[in-house]
Amino acid sequence: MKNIISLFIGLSLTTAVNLHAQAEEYEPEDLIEYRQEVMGAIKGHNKAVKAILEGKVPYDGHLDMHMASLEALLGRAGELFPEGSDFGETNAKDAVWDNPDKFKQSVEKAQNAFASFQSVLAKGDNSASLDAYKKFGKASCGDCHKSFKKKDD
Amino acid sequence: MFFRIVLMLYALISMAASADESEVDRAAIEQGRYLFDAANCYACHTDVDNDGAPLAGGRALESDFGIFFSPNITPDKDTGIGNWSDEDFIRALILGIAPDGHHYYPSFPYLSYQNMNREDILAIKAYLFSQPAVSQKNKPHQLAWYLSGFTLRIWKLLNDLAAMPVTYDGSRGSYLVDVLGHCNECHTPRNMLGMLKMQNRLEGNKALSAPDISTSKNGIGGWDKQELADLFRYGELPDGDYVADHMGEVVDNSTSKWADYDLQAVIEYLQR
Ligand code: HEC
Ligand code: HEC
Ligand code: HEC
Repeated sequence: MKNIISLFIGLSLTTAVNLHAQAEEYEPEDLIEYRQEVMGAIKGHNKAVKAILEGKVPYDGHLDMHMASLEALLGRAGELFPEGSDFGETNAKDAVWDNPDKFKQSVEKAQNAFASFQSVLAKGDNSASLDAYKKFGKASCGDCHKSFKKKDD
Repeated sequence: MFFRIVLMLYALISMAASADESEVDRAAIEQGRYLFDAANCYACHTDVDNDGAPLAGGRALESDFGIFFSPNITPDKDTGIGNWSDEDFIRALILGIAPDGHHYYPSFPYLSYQNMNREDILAIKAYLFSQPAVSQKNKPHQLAWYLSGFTLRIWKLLNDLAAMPVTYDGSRGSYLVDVLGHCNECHTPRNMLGMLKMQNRLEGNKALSAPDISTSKNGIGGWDKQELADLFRYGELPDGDYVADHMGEVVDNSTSKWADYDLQAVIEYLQR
């Protein structure tokens, strides 16, 4: 009987622990570092697009690759901010977690801005594309950083 | 017959005159909106984080001295500034003094605005008064115990005596940077009493994470005109990152709305 009770207690404890594990299994520092690396990757592809559009490098053939990468990364940007990754060496503002609906909107706005940029790019007019690149940056990266990123201390 | 012509003429003239007048009003309001944007009155006076009504105040502005809550500057007569005269408004922006005679804290950047033209101030007022009135009571500031109306007056006196005034050289670039844009309020370091150290103009303020934007190597000395233009228009930094937080608001509300000639004037002014 005693054993059954302890088994029972043990079982309920493990389920409780399991539920918790989802958030606590991973170190916040690792989540934050991963997020920052991915943001760095987004920046890299974005800058590469700019350099190609400006004609500073001979890699027109890379444009589609960078655009596809940007689309994929921005498409998953929302996943970079799980509960529990708000504490530590992060420049993400508390508002990401305090105001999840607004944050979600900002992610969607970025994705929509990317789609508009892509449709201008498809027309192949270089100066219009460069202009669209800049507008995309302001409406996506700029808009989200304004509300959800702080400057390093 | 003659009488009717006179009457008709009279009607025509007065119609023309009133059209002229509303035209003038509209022009003042338009000009006021441009100046209002350049001075970023919106950011401080709107509680954006909590979806507050535009210009109804209530935004928490954190500082070393406590939390300031911005007041309602909509034309509501009870809770806003609907009853203010032109002179009241000018005195507040230039001297930092309220209609009832009390002094404002310099969290309201009147030390920068003090060089604004009268006409420009009145255009901003015309724009504000064309906006919807919102009834919303002001929240009291939550400040350190040693701050009171009395210490504030001593501070203003000391500041007048000891601190160098915010630079303004009369050029358009300086008007946008030093006066309307109040860039010094964030980018110039302060002493222990919170006074701007104008001798280290635009060399950055660590407490606000505002970087050095002087012409030195640590500042924007190495930036070219296009990089500065991309920052002010789109918030894009030379390394491909995008400005965050306060500067993000400055770009969104103010610098991205500068007319091309103003953008050029600022770049020229910052680079010399
Ligand atoms: C939906 C919001 C959002 C969008 C869209 C977004 N960012 Fe970010 N970005 C953030 C946040 C929040 C941080 C801070 C992350 C942290 O420190 O944990 C950040 C950090 C960064 C960093 C710094 C990474 C580091 O090493 O610390 C760079 C660079 C960056 N973003 C570039 C971009 C660029 C370029 C774009 C647009 C193509 C973009 N971001 C779009 C929210 C966003
Ligand atoms: C950096 C933030 C900031 C900016 C920018 C700013 N204000 Fe304010 N303003 C404040 C604060 C804070 C107060 C309250 C000061 C106090 O109570 O001592 C204030 C007070 C005022 C008042 C007095 C209201 C009253 O009820 O007594 C007026 C009018 C005003 N501001 C108008 C403006 C206008 C017009 C602009 C743009 C040209 C502007 N402000 C820009 C922060 C700001
Ligand atoms: C409310 C405070 C505030 C005001 C007002 C302000 N700035 Fe900034 N500024 C900042 C902060 C904070 C940053 C850093 C933002 C970042 O990198 O994410 C910054 C960044 C910059 C940068 C980029 C510098 C660098 O090395 O990365 C420039 C240039 C700049 N500001 C110019 C201006 C000018 C010109 C004005 C006036 C029109 C102005 N700022 C007004 C806070 C402010």
